[in-house]
Amino acid sequence: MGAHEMMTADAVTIQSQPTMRLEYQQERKSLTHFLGQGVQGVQVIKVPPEWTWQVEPIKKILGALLLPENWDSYGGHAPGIGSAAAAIDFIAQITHEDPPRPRVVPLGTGGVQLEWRNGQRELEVECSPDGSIEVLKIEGDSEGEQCPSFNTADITSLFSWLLAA
Amino acid sequence: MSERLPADADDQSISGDEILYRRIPLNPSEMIQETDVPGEFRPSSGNFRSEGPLSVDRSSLSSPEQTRDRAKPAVFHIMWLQNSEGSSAG
Repeated sequence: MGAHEMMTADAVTIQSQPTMRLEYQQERKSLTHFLGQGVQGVQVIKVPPEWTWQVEPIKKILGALLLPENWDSYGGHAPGIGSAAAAIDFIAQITHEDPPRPRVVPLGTGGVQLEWRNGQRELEVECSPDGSIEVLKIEGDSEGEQCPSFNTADITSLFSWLLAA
Repeated sequence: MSERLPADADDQSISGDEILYRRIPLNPSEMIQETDVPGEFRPSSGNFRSEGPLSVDRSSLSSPEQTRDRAKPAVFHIMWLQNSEGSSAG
């Protein structure tokens, strides 16, 4: 798909509430540049044309925004723009070309959790509605270790660990 | 959990061996994942994230079917865990 061609996630076009949609753009920029105002108040995520594996998890993240309140039957909140943006921003900072695909799990807190597994190693990235991120490294049956994920170098280090399993 | 206990208290009146049930939405499908054993699934840890105490049904008071059907007409998976695991999961 070429630059500036529009790609819209089906999951987010079948409803009327304002949300986000995907759009390709020519240059890779930070998420603050990905988010733009589209027609009728719809947020637009401009996806760099070189992105491949990233598109599917982003669609899932956007799909999670459509969950109704009490989606889990326990009074769970639907993920919000803040947690979705944090999750997409995390994905945007992964520099590995072909990492394992993340699982996208909405949280009853209104957050979004990304999960990667490679053999006995797992990464859990919890993105909260306020945009904060907590990363847990888990190996086998161990309890897990919280890790920093402040910048691209931290995230590259996390994925080097995951892929070395 | 007893009503007078603080939200984060461990209710010692419930045996650590007791099985607890909780509903898991069918959608999104990634709330569960297949284990290395064909046909076996495990819940994502995201199922344990909650703003308050985690709501569960005790097996001594409810069957898996009753837990599932309490949210009808929506359809759910049912996960089970031992109370001792639930305590450690918070």
